[in-house]
Amino acid sequence: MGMNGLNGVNGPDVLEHILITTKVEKVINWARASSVWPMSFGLACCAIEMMAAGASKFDFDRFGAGIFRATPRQSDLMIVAGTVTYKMAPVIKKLYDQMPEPKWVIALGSCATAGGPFDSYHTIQGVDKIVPVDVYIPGCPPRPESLIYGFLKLQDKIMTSSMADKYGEIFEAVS
Amino acid sequence: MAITKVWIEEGCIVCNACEAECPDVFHVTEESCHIKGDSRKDGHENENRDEKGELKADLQSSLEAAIVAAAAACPVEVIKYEQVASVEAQTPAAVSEAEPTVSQTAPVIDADIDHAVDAALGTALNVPAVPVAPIAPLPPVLAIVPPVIAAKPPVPPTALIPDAAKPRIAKVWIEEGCIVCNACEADSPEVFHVTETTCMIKAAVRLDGKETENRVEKNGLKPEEGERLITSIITASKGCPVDVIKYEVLGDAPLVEVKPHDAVEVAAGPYIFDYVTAPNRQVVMPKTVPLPSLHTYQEEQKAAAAADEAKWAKQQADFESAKTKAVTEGKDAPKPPVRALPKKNDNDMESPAPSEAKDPDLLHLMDLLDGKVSQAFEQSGELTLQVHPDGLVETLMFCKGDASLRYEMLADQTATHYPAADGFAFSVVYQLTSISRSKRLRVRVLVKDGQELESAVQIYPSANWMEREIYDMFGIRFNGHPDLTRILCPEDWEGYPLRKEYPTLGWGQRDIDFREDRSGVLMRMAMEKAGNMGINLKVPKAD
Amino acid sequence: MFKTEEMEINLGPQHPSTHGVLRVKLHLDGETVVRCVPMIGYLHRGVEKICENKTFFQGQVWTDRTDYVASVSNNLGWAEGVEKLFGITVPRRAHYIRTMLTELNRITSHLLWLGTHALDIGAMTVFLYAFREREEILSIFEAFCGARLTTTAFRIGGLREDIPPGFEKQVRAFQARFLDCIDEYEILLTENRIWKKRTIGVAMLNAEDAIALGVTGPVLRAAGSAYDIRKAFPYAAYGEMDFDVATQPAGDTYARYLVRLEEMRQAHRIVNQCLDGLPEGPVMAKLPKVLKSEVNEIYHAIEAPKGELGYYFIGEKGGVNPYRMHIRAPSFINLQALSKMVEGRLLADVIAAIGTLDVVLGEVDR
Repeated sequence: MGMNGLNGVNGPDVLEHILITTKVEKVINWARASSVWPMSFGLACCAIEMMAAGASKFDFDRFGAGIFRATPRQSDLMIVAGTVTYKMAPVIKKLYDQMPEPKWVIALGSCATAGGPFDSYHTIQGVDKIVPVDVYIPGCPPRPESLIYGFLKLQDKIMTSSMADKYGEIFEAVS
Repeated sequence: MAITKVWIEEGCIVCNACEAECPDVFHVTEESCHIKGDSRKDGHENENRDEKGELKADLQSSLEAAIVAAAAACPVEVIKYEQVASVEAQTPAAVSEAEPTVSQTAPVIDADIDHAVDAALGTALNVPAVPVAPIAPLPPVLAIVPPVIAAKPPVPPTALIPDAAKPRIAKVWIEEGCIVCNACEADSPEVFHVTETTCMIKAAVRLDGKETENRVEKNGLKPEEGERLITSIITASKGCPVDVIKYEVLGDAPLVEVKPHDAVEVAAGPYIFDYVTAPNRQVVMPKTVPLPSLHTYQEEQKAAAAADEAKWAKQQADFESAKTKAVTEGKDAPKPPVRALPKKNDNDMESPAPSEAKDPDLLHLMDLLDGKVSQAFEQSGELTLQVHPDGLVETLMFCKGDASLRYEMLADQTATHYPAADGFAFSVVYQLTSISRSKRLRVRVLVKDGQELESAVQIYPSANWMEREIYDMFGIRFNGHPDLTRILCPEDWEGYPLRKEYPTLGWGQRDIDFREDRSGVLMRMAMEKAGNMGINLKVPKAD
Repeated sequence: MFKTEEMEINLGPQHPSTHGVLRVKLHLDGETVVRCVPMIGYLHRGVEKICENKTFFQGQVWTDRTDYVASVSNNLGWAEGVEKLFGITVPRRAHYIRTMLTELNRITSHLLWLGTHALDIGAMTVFLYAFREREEILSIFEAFCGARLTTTAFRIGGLREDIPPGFEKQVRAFQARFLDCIDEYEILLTENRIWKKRTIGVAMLNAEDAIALGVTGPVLRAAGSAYDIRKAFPYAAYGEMDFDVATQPAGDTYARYLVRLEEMRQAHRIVNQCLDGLPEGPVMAKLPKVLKSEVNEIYHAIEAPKGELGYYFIGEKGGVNPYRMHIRAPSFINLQALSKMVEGRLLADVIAAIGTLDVVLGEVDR
């Protein structure tokens, strides 16, 4: 390859080996998808599996998402890991609003997805009543592998997103 | 409200849920579920799927709640019914309005989505959104009755003879993107036919006589139909929420005003869901008072023994009379009765029965408290001492301070609700542990609803949070508690969850919704819903 | 010259060091805590109400999710409580297997506590080490019942299945190296100067106060009281086991750390005894298909990793559900002692105090 590029007289051939042409959007998406910083937001049982995913055996860091931040202002992914209750709901909403754009939400486990086994007076039947959810991960609790798979799905979603998409639907509906 | 007909669609999984909810109407056989003959006018007993026989008049309203509950409980949702407004209230004027609406189940889960959709619907129609009142003392109107849209006045037949000078629609077709909303069919039923996937131009109006979307071929309309239906087609086209109906006009198209449909009717149905009377929030109150007690147990045993003795005496008397009868008739004497032995228990289970208090601790406390002890007994190896509420503090002080008792720790304190009981409503129990003597004791008091109990915090500081929890869950107040506020539920919570009359699903507090319609999904859902009702919805322009 | 006034700050409910959704309201005078008010209920899910509407067999599923770090202990409490209510005799082999799993669960619970507590105080490495061993025990649970965390391991009357083939080998392999692992943690922490500075003399609680506040478990034993329900009111197979109750006299965070490490060693001993002395025989008692209770009322307490875990049941005549079910959660009662431990101390010690109490909010709020 090197030989060809150095010996070849034509310029474009050399450039092809040095430069990659792509869209800015794609580069930004790639950067975002490869360094998602989750907020450490453990609510219940699923948080223990989330910790297990971050710890020695499963090593969530491999996907660039191992830096669990303590504050919403430094994080761009909220992993809602556990049961959402009536008393907790306003807190979740506030934390979500404090996160800077772009932000994503993973509903980890059946409680965050749809209330899970807690069909009772104080349990919100799914965190999607409070914040928009990007990826739902089933399980009670989901294994760390499930969380990793769900996270990879989120990365796919980030990679295929465009800035116009995020608000496109509003304009579409209005026009 | 009353239910006139009820039938079972295909797909019954024979789960018995309906029979449990409403045994008067449903009978679950091995293959399917039947509507009982006793409840039907025609007296047949089958699924009632084809003939749709009516229910007996007297049962129509009395069993309504039970049938609705059964339909809601059906896991595969095959129980369908026809619900009408009250039979007695059907004046001739009401008949046209109170059209029977086939309502599937009470839309419990979707209720909040519906609120959101309705709010969006309200904005789109420029009518104020109906404020959502989650708890309202309304009659149990469970099904959301879709507003009945008055039939459109038929398009006045203009001249039937085609006039070359008159404008007419030459072609009409459907572009891609139909959301199957039925709006066009409501406007112009002669031209459009909405199927499950798309909208068709009807064969009757087309020159080639085919029924397709007409997108590719763009076949023409019959001239006389094109002229007669011009207004309705233009109305339909303008009314299409996604604007996929296209047409070609020959001549000058008339100016067609699209009148907004009766928005009043949409607003008229405030979708208020009555949480208190909803079928899945109804509570079965306990009928018994399972308060363990030696006295009650002994009474029960005595009654059971007496009943057994009476049965045996009757058997013997029967035998005697049969014997004398046989002797007089010269027949063989009947076999003498055998007294039934108690059932043999071959399981590894022996239900523990309460027994007299023999433990020295209990005897000592009964001596000390003299007269304030209601009863003391042992069961499952546990000691129970029931005291009068007045003697509670004294009892706890003795338990902690007496040199021969030394119950240093209050391990647990909790309450139980007995709504069926006479003279008291709650029992409050204190589980005491003596660490130095490895012993446990349970102190129990019975309190009435609203009666205050002396707080144990001064004697056992660990009672602090436990009493707060009891207050939170049962509403029992403790006199002298330093900070008697709710602990688990938020301070503005309504009701006391662990009382028996409180439904497990609560009174609707959990159905909160903080969603914003950022991506327009709720608006789109609102449009689809409106389309299904035959309402033309125009999204407000941003200008 | 300067005006000083108390400041009120909130810790939680979303905070890395609160082990869930605990909220603590602190009144500070400079850096000194004047008043500390724990506020709970952010994970109240109505477990007691749900279980009152489920049968005795079904209810165990919800106990998994109260103290989700030690679900096997919760299962044991539920199963033994119901058995006491009905008067069921459980086969001896089932008792041994239950004891073994519960002790393994004690190790996972303490490992998780060790990892997160060290993380809170500033030692990251221990977390990774502790989770390495924890994963091994979780795979043992998985081999036994198919779930890592929410096990529902037992049945009323014994066990659903006997131990699977290869199970003993797996446990023995873990047992062979676990003692060395504890030594490894000790090398990292026990003589670590920062660790000692952050823990010795911090969050003191003496035995008298602890008993008055109902505090049980390692927190009480680290204050010098040798109250252990496994010895005081033996249940399962603990009466036949030979083990010591770990105690420390100091009553501070460091003492609790030592007690928990020692408890892991004792748990290791008990698991070995269970494996060696595992009796032959059935694992399930003979029971009717449907359990219908008589009128009865029981309180059954076991020594969970966090302290006294009690189940209170009231049975109804002919009832298939408990008429009343109440969980005496050790975390709930122990958390009451937080104010006592931190008032008058520094703000940074609050984090250490919350960590050393080892509360699980699922159990506090139920």
